[in-house]
Amino acid sequence: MKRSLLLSASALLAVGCNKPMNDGANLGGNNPSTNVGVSPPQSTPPVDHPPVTRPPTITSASAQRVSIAQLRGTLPVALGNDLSGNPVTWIYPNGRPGLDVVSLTLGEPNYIDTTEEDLSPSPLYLKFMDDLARDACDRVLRADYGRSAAADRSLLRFVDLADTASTNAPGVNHNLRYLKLRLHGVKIDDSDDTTVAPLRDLFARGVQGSAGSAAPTANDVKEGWRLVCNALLTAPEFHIY
Amino acid sequence: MSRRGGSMKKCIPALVIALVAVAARADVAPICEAPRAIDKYQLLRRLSLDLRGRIPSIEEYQSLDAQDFVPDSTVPAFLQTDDFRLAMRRYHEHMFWPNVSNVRLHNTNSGLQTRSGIWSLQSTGRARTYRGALGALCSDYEQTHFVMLPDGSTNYEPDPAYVVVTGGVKDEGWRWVTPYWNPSTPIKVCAYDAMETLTVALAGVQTSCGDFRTNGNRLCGCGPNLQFCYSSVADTAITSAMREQLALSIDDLSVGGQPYTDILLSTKAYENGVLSFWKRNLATNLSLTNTYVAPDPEEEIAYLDWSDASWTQIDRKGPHAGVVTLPAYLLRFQTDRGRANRLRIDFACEFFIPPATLSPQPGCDPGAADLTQRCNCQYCHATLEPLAAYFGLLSEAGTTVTTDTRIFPLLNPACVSANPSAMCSRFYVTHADAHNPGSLLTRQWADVHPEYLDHMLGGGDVPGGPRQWAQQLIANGTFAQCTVKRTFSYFMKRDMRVAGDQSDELDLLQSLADGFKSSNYSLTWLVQQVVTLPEYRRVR
Repeated sequence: MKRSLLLSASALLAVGCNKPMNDGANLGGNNPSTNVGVSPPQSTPPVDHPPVTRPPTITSASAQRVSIAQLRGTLPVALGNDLSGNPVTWIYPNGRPGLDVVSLTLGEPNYIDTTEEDLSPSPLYLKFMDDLARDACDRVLRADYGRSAAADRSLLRFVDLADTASTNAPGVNHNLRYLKLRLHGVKIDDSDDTTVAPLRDLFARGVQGSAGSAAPTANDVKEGWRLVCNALLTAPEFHIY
Repeated sequence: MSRRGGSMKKCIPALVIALVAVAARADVAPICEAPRAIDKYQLLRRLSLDLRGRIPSIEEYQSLDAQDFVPDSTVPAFLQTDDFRLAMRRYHEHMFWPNVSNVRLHNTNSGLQTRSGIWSLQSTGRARTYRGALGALCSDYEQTHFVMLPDGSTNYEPDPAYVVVTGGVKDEGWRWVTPYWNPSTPIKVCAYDAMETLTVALAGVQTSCGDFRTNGNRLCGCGPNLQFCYSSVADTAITSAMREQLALSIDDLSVGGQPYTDILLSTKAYENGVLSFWKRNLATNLSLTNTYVAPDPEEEIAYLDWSDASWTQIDRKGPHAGVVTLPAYLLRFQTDRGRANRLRIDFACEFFIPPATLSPQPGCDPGAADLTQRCNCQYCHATLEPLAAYFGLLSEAGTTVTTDTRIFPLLNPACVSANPSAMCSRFYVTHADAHNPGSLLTRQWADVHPEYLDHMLGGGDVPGGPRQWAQQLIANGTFAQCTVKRTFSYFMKRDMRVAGDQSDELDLLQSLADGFKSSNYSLTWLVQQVVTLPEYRRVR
């Protein structure tokens, strides 16, 4: 998980590569008589900054972080239902939905205190997403481990509950490809085991870390899947579209 | 415009690149790559998040395995879902900020409180009216004797023979009352506060005890079932219903098939039991220092019980104009200037941004009371004041159409006073040395700016109020262009390049605006066009 957070934080640092979106003044605009210009029209780089070439014209959509509302809608689709039939989501220690509890903290506007949603992948956002992943992954794995039929499970569709990367490598690879599609919308070819290798390694290390020198049990395997689930739910691919 | 925030930087593939670079300990590749097409799975994910507010199910992803592309039928199918309706609600909430839960609809004169399980009015003044001492409340025993009226009925005025009087201060008991906001649970209410008198004579006219002007009458309580008074439960229910009312108007545009121009032109609105009850019983028990929310003259009000959760469509007529005259909008943007500015931002896509260096206009007066003439105010107020006049018939910090000249005479010389009444302070020019003393504030400058009256009242076949402005925006194409820009920005997560030296998307803007108009301003048509643009299917 530390690695996942590190990667996310590193990614965050790299976000600022391009021009910032403007503040909306550009929306108005074709009538100079009714618009007041902004001065200065363009910022000047610092004196010691190397020359900046104009960025190429964008001919695509931009990417964006999902909103809190989108996360609310997404978690039940991504994680399915618990054993009681309730959608799996992040539940705060006080029993309330976590996304509601931290809604304002994460910048979801309530139109009184805040009126614009902050969609930056800030360190604060990453921290709470880590909390979200830990709680939601625990819930979905408890549900999956309570279901004997693989077809009824949300995450572990193509493995038995005690399968490891050693005992059922094809099944683990298949399941990782399935999870990449389910959670990230990333389709990996059935014959491609390479793309999922980092996740498989993470899974194996989790199992080994839990089992130690003993033979892994289903509970140890569960710890491996917990790491995978956490990694997928904190990955940029889950939060950016 | 960014979709929601203004400062988010956009080069998200950098996230992925950074991820790979850090993981592989490789050199960082050039970050700003050329746009590339996204595959069908990512396109489905993008469409689903944008149009339904959630990712696709695994079954929906897997159904693409047998397809070369995301099927053309996907977008129309998404546009018919309830998730799309909710997504469009959120989109429009970003425009209208319709949370009015912090708005005070009344003051202590009509607000109820509970202490030790016994309910009473919050007002210490009304307590004195009933009992003879400021803030005096009833005692904890059941009041069982009441005055019998000549016709044999009772208004539940406590029988003086059964009220304890100590030192000139009355001390009655409580009685059980079934409150309108929770009929299944009777509550104890101080007997004076719970009196059920319906009307009393006020200046010779029988006037409802639900009218704020009767708050000082000792025979007026909260009425049957406390119908003239607010509780915190009622406050929350009313302001929540206002928000939902606005959202229902948006539903008509997003999935209801109504033209998007209705957002500014429709006189229809929805009412449920809460809003209906509020308008009929509570809205006149207002506070002149808070919000003025009395019903409009001849306002159509649905006749629904408080607990009736169904929504009925009514016609508000008058100067009403789409969502911008709904209570949620009027109470969120409480001044005429604020209302006009918001409408201008939302539907003309124009913003007031003063320059860094101000230059007074020639011939200006730095102390001019008329803001259009004051030095340096030409940047905003010269434009804003005439636009604010479009809202001149609607009470500021309120919702009421102020056309009843019995209540709002155009000129009220009695208001010119060093100690004006609350009504005068609120609606009239009270200073003797001001321009047009005694005039309604909204008409103070109408002699100098006759267009203000035209904007308020219209003339001939031209309506007054915000509908007149809306019709102009629609007729000159501004409304269509602005809606296209907003929709484009929302789904593309970037502004259209239609201004300044980046204007290569002007043709696209015009094409979409023309098509939007030809589609009878169909919001779903516009959304479908935007999400099927090649740009939407690329990312960088």
